[in-house]
Amino acid sequence: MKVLSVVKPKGKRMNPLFMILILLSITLVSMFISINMGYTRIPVQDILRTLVGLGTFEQNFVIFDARLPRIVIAVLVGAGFAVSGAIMQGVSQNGLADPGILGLNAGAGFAVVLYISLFHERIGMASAFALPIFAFLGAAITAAIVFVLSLKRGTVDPIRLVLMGVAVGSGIGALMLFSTYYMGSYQYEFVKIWLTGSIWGTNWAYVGISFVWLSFLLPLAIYKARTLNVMNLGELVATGVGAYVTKERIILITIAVALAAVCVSVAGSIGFVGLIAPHLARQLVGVNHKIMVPTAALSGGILVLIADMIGRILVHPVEIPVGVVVAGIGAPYFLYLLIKTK
Amino acid sequence: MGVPLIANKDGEIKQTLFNKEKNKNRTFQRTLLIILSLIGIVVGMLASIMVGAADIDVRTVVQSIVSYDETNVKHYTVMELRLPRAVMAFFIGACFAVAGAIMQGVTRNPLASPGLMGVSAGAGFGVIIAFAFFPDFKYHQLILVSLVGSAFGTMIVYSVGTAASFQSRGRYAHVKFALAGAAVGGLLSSLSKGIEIYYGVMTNVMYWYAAGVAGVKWFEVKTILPWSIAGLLLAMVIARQLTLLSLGDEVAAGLGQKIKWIKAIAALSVFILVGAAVSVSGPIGFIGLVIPHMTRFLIGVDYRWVIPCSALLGGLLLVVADMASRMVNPPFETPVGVLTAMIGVPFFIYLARGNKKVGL
Repeated sequence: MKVLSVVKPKGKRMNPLFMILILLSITLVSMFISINMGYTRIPVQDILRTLVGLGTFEQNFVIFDARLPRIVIAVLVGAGFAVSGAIMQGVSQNGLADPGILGLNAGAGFAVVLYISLFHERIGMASAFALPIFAFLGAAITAAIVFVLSLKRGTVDPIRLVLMGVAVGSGIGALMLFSTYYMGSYQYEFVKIWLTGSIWGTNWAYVGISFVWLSFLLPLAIYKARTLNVMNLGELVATGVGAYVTKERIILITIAVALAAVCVSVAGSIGFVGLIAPHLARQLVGVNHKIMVPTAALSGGILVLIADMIGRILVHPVEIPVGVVVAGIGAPYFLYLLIKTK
Repeated sequence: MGVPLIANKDGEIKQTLFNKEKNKNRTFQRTLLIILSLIGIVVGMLASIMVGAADIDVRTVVQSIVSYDETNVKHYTVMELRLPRAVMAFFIGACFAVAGAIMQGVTRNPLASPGLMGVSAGAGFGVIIAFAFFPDFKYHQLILVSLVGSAFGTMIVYSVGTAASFQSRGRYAHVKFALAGAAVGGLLSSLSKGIEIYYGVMTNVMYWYAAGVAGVKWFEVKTILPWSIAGLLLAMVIARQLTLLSLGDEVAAGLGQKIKWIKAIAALSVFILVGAAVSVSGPIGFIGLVIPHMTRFLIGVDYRWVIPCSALLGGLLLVVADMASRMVNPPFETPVGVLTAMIGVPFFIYLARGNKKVGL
């Protein structure tokens, strides 16, 4: 159970950079397919024409105003959740750690719900920018609570950490449900959509917000990933080779919490991505975090993108929220991991 | 870590069971607990009947029970709206609590409870399947579906949990069961949500669960009652064996118990109890976790007493929580699950922080 992340790679692996290139092209191809999927089918040559600015009014509307922002957000959010999970698994040395399980999604969500019920006006631009900050505060406070609760005699037992996350998460879930009863119908509708993990912010403003935050956080996380390699050796060795373990750990956790918070504030609580994507990445490229973290980001992006696509085309005209689809894929994988880990 | 609760306390259990001096003491505690909780239930039900949109005083309540006058609006409110609700709340609380007690006894896992082990989630899934595919199901058919669902959810959690703890040679077995329960709960509730959206029954289901015990009439009480009483009786039948089983399978087998049969009856009883309760109120968490611990703490581990006392305490808790759900934010009703979570989560944290009693 303890150190899933040091499972030895089996057999020969592909060149990691080659793997990243493959994933990148899968991402682009699925984005392209996703543009075409939906109620209005648009022929491939028309998509290309529209993308370079020669489309009809209707095609422009469908592609640029409805589908593309949503697709970009799906990829960004998937990458964010995945990297957040990869860092948490690396720092806690626990293969079951992820922002959803540790209660961070719930904490960020509760902050968002509070924000919405406090400010009664519709979500405007300015407030949309502030949303991730609120979410971060909520997630950070939750992380602190979970950490303090799992602290015992100066150490944090990885398993107790997960149990505390589950407990705190369900407590916050109850508070959230409770607070929805004090809301107006607009806010209530919003929260209901948001809780199922829907990509609700489907205009370019939200793409901008998440892009601004993530374009800073994701590279930072990938840069910092090398310290995770050192941490994998265990605390004593890590201190021995001169890494400032505690300081680095706090930085990494802050990045992970911020990533989860940004994603939650744009796309609601999408569980299981942060859990699965790092495991997939480890299967693909091994345990070197310098390669593993970017691979996880790409796998997470693909996962959410495809889940969103499935949710959109599975049953016309209703949409199944992406969170539901991801959970449908993710929970069985989680159970499989649970059986496999020692 | 990993040493189960009750096996840890083998010595104490033998003392409790076989030490006459201590038993005398326990008898006093048990009688006291039963008397107090009965008083509590009468007072709680009375209060629950009195509190609401229309305030009703004690005399009217007693009058309407003793000499019911159909034409009197207040009498009607008491007898047809508030009393069935209070009775139903009591039975649902009792069902969840006893189901939790049985599960903790059989598995010797302090975290075992209908909510955490996928039983409630399975039952809820069954109810939603019924809503989507068999919209004209009658009430008693709904209970059956819910019962099958609870068996289904439990089966998944149990097989994953067993396989997982087998892999790790029994270490962390408790935690793995709890995590498997959480994941299966997540899976089933997301599947339910998908089905709700697909079949457009979301509003029906939300109305159903939001109503909880609120809209209950005597008709529903009469349909549920046989099931929950049957479940409780089954639990009482195997109560003695549960005490022995909680010492560990080997001990129980050594004492000549037919373990497989007892476990099968225990499982059946859990399915009936949870299936019936969830079909009315949806999954209400934490009662099944908290109440059995509380009961064992108060009166010891003899399941012949733990089962009835859990039933009383669980019923009392839900009657009070249901009343509170009406008082928090009138005229709206706070979901009763929120109130039980407020009590249950701190307790869960206390358990999971691994005090010696639990042995986590």
